[in-house]
Amino acid sequence: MTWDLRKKRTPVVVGLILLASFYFGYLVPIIFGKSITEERTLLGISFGSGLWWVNTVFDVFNLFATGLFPLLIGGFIAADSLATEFEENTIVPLLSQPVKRLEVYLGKFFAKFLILLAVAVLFTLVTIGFSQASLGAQGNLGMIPLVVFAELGAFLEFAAIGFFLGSIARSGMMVLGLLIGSLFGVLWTVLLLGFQFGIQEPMFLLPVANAGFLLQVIPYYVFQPWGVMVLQGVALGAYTQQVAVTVISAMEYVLAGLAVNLVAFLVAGYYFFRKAEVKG
Amino acid sequence: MKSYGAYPGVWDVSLTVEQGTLHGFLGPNGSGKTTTMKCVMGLLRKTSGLIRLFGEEPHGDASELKKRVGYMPESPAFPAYLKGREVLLTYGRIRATSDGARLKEESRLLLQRVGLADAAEKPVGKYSRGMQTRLGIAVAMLGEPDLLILDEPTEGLDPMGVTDVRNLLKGLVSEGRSVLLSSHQLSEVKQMCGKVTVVNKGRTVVEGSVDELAKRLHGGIVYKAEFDSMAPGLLDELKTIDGVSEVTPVEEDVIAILMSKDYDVRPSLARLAVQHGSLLLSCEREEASLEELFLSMVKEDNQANRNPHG
Repeated sequence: MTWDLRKKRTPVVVGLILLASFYFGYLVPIIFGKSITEERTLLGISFGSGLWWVNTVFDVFNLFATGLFPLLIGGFIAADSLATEFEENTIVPLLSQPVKRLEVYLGKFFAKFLILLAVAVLFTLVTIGFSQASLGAQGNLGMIPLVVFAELGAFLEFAAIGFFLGSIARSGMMVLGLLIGSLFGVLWTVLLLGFQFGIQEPMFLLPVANAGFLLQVIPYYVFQPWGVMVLQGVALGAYTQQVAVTVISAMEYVLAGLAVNLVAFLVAGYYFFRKAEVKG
Repeated sequence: MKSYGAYPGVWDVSLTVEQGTLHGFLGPNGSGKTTTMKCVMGLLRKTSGLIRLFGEEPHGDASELKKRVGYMPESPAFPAYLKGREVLLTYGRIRATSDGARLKEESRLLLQRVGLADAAEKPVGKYSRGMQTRLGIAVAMLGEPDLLILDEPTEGLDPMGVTDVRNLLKGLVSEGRSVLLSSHQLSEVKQMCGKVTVVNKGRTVVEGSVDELAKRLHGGIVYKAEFDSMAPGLLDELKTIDGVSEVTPVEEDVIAILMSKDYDVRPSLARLAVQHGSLLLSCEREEASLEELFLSMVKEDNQANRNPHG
C-alpha cells in the first residue's frame, strides 16, 4: 500500500487549519496569560491591545508568514497542482489544447488563490471561535479582512514557491520534500550562524524555523541597512523579545518581502513551465 | 529530430498525412511514434527538423493551429474528481470553440458517440482504462478538428470497443477529416489505414499504402510449404536459396518462406527436400501479411544498424 498524503488533501488541509487555530486561538491564551499589553500596528493601522484573536492570528502571521503553517498549507496545495499534473500526465490533454501556457499557468495559480483565500478566511474565523471559547466575546472584528489579506499573502508566497519547484521537479512529493527540506536547511543555517557569530536573535526563531525568512530579510536590509533586524521571537508561543526597530516597520518589510518573493517565484516558475516537456 | 542528451530518440522520421485520409503510424514499442506525435503537439521540443501543420510551422504555443487539431495521448489521464461530462465541458471551454448551450449538446453527443453516455455522471477516477481511452477520443474530437492525432486509440478496449472506435474513425475520415493513428496492431492498421509509415529506432523505415509496401518490400510473397518430415539441416539449407528472406516454422512439418524478390522457389524446395531424404507434399504461394512484412522490415532495419547509436 502506498502512502500518499495528496490523496487526502481535504482532511489534511482542514486538519492543519483546526490544529493551528486551536493552538493559537485557544491554547496560547490559556497557557501564556489572557491579556497582552503591547499595541500591534500594521501599515499604520492599530490593532489595539488585549484583543486575543487579532493578536494570536497576527502572531501566527508574523511568525508563520515565513514559516511552517503557510508553508504546509500553500506548499501542499501548490504541490497538488503543476507538479502532480506533470507526474500523473493530466497536464498532457491540457497543454494539447489551443491555449497559451501563460494562461494555463496563471489559471492554475488563480484556482489556488481562491482555495487559499477560503483557507485564510476559515482559519481566521475558526481561530476567533476558539478565542471566543477560551476568553469570551472577541472584539475588533473589522480587522478580519486585513488579517485574512496578510495570511493569504503568506500562503500565496509558498504556493508560488511550490509552483516554481513544481515546474522544475514535476513531482508533487518531491516539491513537498524540497519545501520541508529547505525549512530544516534554514533552521540549521540560523543555528550555525547563531553559534558562529553569537547572534542571539536568530535563536529565538528556532522553534518556528522560517523557510523564507532569509529571503525576506534581504529586502529588509536593502531598505534599512543601518537598522537592527527586528525579530519578534516566539518560541512555542512564548514571547521572547523585540529589538531596536518597531514592530510596524518589521511587518511592513515582511509584507514587502512577501510581495517580492511572490512575484519573483511566479515569474521564475513560469520561465521553467514554458520550457517544460511532458514525459517522452 | 528529438534527442535526449546523447541518445537520439527520434532522428530521421518523415511522414505526411494527406487531407481526408487515415494514416497509420506503425512501429514496435520505443520506436519513436509517441515522441514524434508529442513533438507535433509541442509537448516535447524537437531538437531539429521541420514540422508543418496545415502547411504552417507551429511557433510558440501555436494556439491558433491547435484549434484545428485534436490529440489523444497514449493512456489519456484526466483529473480523477471530474465526471466524464465535466471533463468534456472543461476542455470544451478551454478550446472555446462553442458557446455554453452548444458545448453541452456537443459534449452529450460525443459521449454518446464514444459509448460513454451511461457513464457521463461517473467520476473519471472510477473509469476503466478502456473508458478513459474512449473519453480521450471524445476530448480529441471536441470542436470538430480537421486533424486528429491518436496515440494507440484502441489500447485497453474490449473487442466491441475496438470495433466501435474503428467505425468511428472511418466515419470521421468519410466526413473529410484526417487522422494520424499510431498503433502496433498491424491488423488494425491494415483494415483501416490508406497509408502507413513504419518507424523503427527513431527513423522511418518505409512509407506508402499497405499494398504498395507489400510490393515494394520483399515482393510481398510468402510460400507455405509442407514436407513429409523436416530432415535435419533442411531448414538452414532453405535459407540459402536465392531470394529467400526468412524461413519460419509454422507447424511441425510446415514452414513459411518470405521472399525478398518475386522468384518461384518451388523447384528449389523440391530439389533440396529430396537431397535431405524428405518430400515436398505441398507448396502454396500467398501474399505476405502486414505482420510478416512488418517483422521482416524491422528485422532488416535492425541488422542494417543504421541508427548511429543503435
